Amino acid sequence: MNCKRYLALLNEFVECTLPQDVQDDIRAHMETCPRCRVFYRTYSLTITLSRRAETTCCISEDQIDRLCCLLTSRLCKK
Amino acid sequence: MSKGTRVTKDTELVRRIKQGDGTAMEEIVKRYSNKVYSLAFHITHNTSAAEEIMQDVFLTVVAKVGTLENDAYFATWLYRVTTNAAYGFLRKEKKYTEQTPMEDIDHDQIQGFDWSELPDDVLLSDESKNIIRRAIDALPESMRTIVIMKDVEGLKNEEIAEALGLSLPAVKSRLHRGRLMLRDTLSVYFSRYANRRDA
Repeated sequence: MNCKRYLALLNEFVECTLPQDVQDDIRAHMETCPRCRVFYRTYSLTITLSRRAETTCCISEDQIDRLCCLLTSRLCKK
Repeated sequence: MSKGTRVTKDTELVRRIKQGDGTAMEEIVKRYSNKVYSLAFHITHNTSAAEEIMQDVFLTVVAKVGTLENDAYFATWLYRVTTNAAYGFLRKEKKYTEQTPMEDIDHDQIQGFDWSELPDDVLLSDESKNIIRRAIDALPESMRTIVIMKDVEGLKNEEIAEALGLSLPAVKSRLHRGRLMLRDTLSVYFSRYANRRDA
């Protein structure tokens, strides 16, 4: 494992979708490479911050009810 | 959208909608309206547009659900219609232009500052949230949609691939590149705290 290959596989490493031996290789590489360790931490945190940066939004029950009425009437006309 | 029973229920509801069942339509709306609205809002950042898109998406369901050949793909079809409508809105408003993807990030350019150790009040400040939102907005559309669907909306890679008509490797690749670009932006932004700490 070198830094370039590590970087290419980081996405799958974070999602734990790599074969176990590759996951282990990456962990071993991070043990010996401080820059890749930092990269992993900041990459993971980027994902977390992306999730938190965007506001949770939802529509009201009234809007859902109005939409249902509209759609039901359209469905009946078909 | 978990697999298993939910898929079966969606399939059943879609089958009933095709037969004109209003109750099934209501159930689908209750199940997916917030997801559709949220995705549209995170792409457009416009509440009125998101509401309009949501309505249009479900009207499209009524009009075109009969053309859906495999009912099991209803949810991903819904997401595809939503993203198309949201980007259609942005293009109409001329608020969106495809940008040239950044060059591949060179590992030699990786900055050594570990900003993951910054305190939460810095990482989660309104300013840093704005930086992230702007960075997501600035991503090329091919990456931006996937980052929003995955990291903001929490969809699975497989669902995104189906919704956007992409291969799974293509989704993973674009997601990775998008995240790398976001990380790069954040590294530049947070580097100011490295300088302060060194001072």
